[in-house]
Parts: sequence; structure tokens; C-alpha cells
Amino acid sequence: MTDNLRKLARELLESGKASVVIGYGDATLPGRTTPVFITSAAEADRLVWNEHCLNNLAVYLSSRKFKTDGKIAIVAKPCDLRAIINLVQENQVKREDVIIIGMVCSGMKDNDSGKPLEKCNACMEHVPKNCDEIIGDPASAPKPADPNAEFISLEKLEAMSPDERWAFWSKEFSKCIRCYACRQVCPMCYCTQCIAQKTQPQWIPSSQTPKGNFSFGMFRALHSAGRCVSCGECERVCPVGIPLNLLTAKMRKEIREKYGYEAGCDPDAPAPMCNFKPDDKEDFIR
Amino acid sequence: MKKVDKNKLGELMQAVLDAGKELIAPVRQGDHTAYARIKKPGDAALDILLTRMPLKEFFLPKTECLLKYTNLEGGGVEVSDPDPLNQERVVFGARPCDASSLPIMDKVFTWDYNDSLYLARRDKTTIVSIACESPAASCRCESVGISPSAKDGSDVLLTPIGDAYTVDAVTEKGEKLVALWGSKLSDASDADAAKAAAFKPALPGHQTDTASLRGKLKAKFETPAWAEQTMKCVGCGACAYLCPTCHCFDIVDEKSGCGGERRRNWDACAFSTFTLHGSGHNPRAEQQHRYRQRVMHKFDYYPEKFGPVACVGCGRCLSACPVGMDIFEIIEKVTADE
Repeated sequence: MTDNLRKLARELLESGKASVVIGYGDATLPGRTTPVFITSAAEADRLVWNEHCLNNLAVYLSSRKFKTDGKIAIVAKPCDLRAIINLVQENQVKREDVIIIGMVCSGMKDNDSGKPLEKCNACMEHVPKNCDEIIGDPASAPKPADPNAEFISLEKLEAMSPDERWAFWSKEFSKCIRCYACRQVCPMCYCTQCIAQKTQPQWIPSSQTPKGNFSFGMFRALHSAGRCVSCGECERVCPVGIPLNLLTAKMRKEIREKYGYEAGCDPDAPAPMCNFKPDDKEDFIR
Repeated sequence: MKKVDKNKLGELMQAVLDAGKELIAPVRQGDHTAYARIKKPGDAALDILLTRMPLKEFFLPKTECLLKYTNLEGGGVEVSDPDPLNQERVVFGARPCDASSLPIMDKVFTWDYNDSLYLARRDKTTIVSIACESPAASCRCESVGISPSAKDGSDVLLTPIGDAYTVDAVTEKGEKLVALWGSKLSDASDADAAKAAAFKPALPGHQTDTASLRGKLKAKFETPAWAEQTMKCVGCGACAYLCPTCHCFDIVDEKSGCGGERRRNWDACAFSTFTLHGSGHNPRAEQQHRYRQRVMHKFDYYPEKFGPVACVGCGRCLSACPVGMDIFEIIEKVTADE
């Protein structure tokens, strides 16, 4: 797949169809990959594809906008691809400005433990959809997991009493150092000014106190409702190991149950949190 | 020089607790690792090569109160200062890189102002470091002139010699602690001392000669290589907050009811708001400028003012960076001849 990817990247850059290919290259630490920005065909051999291509590169289309005159070609796992589709739906990127190179994905492995990622065990979509190019053989892809597999980790939390849940999250958020890595890697966190940084008035205390940490975690989870594509980057990058996916998974579950909606799966489906109809049953908006 | 059996470290920690001192050691918190206060030696996880969090928060807490204020009925404000730390503490099982960060921080907190809260914590704390037997691929201490058995910043250094450690009291504070341990330690032979002196585990990761490269940084301030090398940086504060020497902070007043606290919180130069002016202008407009500041501060501005570089090569920023930034690779790339 790496050879095919490099070949495609060379073609896109040589023909001028794309001015940059955002993909994965080898990192300096053994066995890891790092995002790379390939702008000439001669550099295409820096691209790699393996089971450590963890980053969701869609973040470079939204909050960390890559500046270029031509089209951006971007390497995307099926889960990351959903983020790109969602960004198109939210008018953050024009679909015609991006060439999506979808990768048939058998799952990624944790950098430290070498074990398959939890999200990959629960993956329903190993073959990319809505992309411009496909690398890999769709026939070789693993079978989709049960649709509820991604919510198994929630069961323990949902079985807790409110007091137990409070104790659980108090302990987890006490570790938060407010580095905002979760926010910065999230393709959906593209606000130019985050409410966490507002000072006049200050909505969320910047101190690493329970009040500040809780408010930050809660508002981020709520903002992810109907938008989180379950790429799991927030939890992966958290340097102190807060299980942030439990929060976003709960939001995804609510959205699925109430609206039958999966963010970034269908470019034409109206996003539940961004649309309303005059005949909606709720009357607060009228 | 003294020595202690490897399986007797628990007794040394218990002696610290029995003497009424607070004990801080590396611990596991689920999958997370950090230094933490412990109540029994069994809670220490001395097998951890390097905790995810550095020792820094015990000297410069993530958040600390600088003063409390209360608005009084009928006008006026009552202000009170926090009490400096007044409890003896021992950090047991620090790594030489983490210990080396403390003299670097000291220079900042005593330069134009003696920071009493910081200095009280330093004064009350004795650092016992354990030299590293199996450094990791991310370890970069030799890139900055430190070694897996460096003594700088430690009060006592334990160096592995087979089934035992030599116990080396580096400072006066360290001598007091060794005296407290008394007969729990035995005398090291000349052969033991020679073994300890020869202790030099190989670092598996690539080491960068920052001593010779850092002199080139100033001339490379405007090189386009900064933009190329920092393009992938997403602008979070993980590198700064996990760094044992990053010491930038923000001061905020946070209200609660009729009063509040003035707090000092960690801050990071990678944040876009770090240098954002009230006018809306930002002198470090792009991420490349912010990352360049990180490199320049550590390898140019700080050494120019204080001597050593402000990096101990612990490698936390390499292993925890969400996008795999490697500060040493970046130094090599931006200082390379065009």
C-alpha cells in the first residue's frame, strides 16, 4: 500500500492536480509515524502506510489550516475521512479543494503497548467511502464490528450512580493539566477563539482546579455532540490519560438514539445540531 | 561512600516517613505515571524509567494561590498571603534528568526576584535520585551534556552496582538524610565505588550535539526551515507542561462569591494567546514563531543569560507530542547549512 500511495502522490504532484499531499512519514522515535507535508514528487518516498498511522490529519484542514494555492491531497483512514466530510458539511473546507486519498484500514496499534486501539476493535468502516482515490484492496478489509461495540466501554459508567460518576470524573479530571492537546488535535475544534480562553468575562477558569477542569471537559464534550466522528484523537493524545472517549461516546450514543445520525457518514444528511425545521416538535426556538 | 541492597529501598523510604517527613515518589495512577505523595513505601513504583509528569509541579504547582481577597461589607478589601511550605519533604526515586531541572529553575526564580513560595519548597525538599539502568529510545540527556548518572540537582544519588546501590551524598542536605538512614546503609568498598564510577549505560536514541549547534541558532532566526519544521505543530501545551524546565506562568484573579484568589497557573508559549496583545496584535502570529520561541528560549536566550541550556533531555516532549515533534531534530534541521 505504501508503494501505491507514493505512486499516487507522485502523480498528483507531477500533474499539478495537488500542490501538497498530507500524509504520514517515519517519526524519529522507532515504530512511530508523524504527519508530513509533501510538496514535490521527489519527496513522495517519505510517505509511509503502516499500523502506526494514528493521527487524524483532517486537523490540518480545519484549525491548523494548511496554506496552499492548489488542491490539498490528504491521506485519510475511514474514520478520519468522516471528519473531512463533516468539515465540508460545516463549511470549513470546500469539497472541491480537497483530494481525499482513502486508505483501506485494518486497524491501528498503540505506540507504546503495540495492542490494537480500542476504537479499531469497534470499527464499523474499514473501507473508505466518499473519497476520490482508494488505496488498498477493499476485499482484504476486516469485517465491520457490531454497531454497539463502540459503546461497550460506556456500560460501566452508565451503571454508576450519579455520585459514583461524579467521583470517577473528579478523579480523572484532577489529572488534567489544561494543555488543550485534546482540543488542538480535534478536527472539529476549529473555533478561532475558544470559550476556554475568554477572559472578559472569564467563562471557564483557566486554573487547573476541579471547577476549571470540569467545565472545560464538559463544554468540550457538549460541543462534540452530533459532530464527533469517533476518531479518538482526544483520548490518544491526552498526556495524562483521561478517558475522554467516554464523554464523546456518550454524546455519539445519544445522537444515534435520538436522531439515528452518525457524523460524517453521509454528506447529504442534515446534521441534527445544525438544522431545524418549522415543524420540529420542540417549541423553544419559535 | 555507603551502599544499600536493592531490596532495602523500602526501608529507606519508611525511615523518611517515620521521621515525620513527607515522601514523594514515582507512582502509577492507572495507565498514567507521575510523582506523588505516598503514605507507604509499597506505593512507590521505582521500576518506572520516567514518569509522564516531571517533578516540576512540586516546586511550581500547576495552579497556586498567590493571595486571597475578600470584599468586606461596607467597603474595603481584606488581603491575605498564603503560607510558604513548612514541611520537610523527600523525593525518593527521581531521575537524574528531573533532578537536573531544579538548578535550572532556581536561576529563574532567584534572578531579579526571590520567589519565596518556590524557594521554600526547594529549601524543604531533599532529592534522592536513582541513576538510570535502561534508558529509553526517547532519552536525550547526553544531547544536553547530562548523563544517566548525573549528580546535578540531586542531594543523594543512588547508582546501581549489581544487587545494590551506592549511596552518594552530594550535598549537605543529602548528608543529613544519609545520617538519618544510619545503620540501614553499609560501607561501600573501593570496588563498589569503582563500579559506580564506571556506571555508564548506553543511550539507544540518537543524540544531538546541541553544544556546538546552539551557537548557530541566532543567525538562523529568520530561516524558512522554521516554517517547514514546525508545520505539523498543532499548538497545544503538552511539550511545555511535561517539560521539567518550562516555567512560564500566567497570573489570573478568579472570583468566588465576595472574594477570590490571585492564582499563578502554568502557561505555554505554544498557545496562540500567549503573546496576544489587548489590541488584537500578536507578535508571534504563526505557530512557527511560537515553536521557534520554545527552541530559542531553551537553547539560546536562557544559556546566554544563565549558562546552561534550559533542557535536561528527558525526552518527554518527544514521546508525548501528539504529532511527533522532535525538538532535537528541529535544531539539527534549522541549523543545517542551506
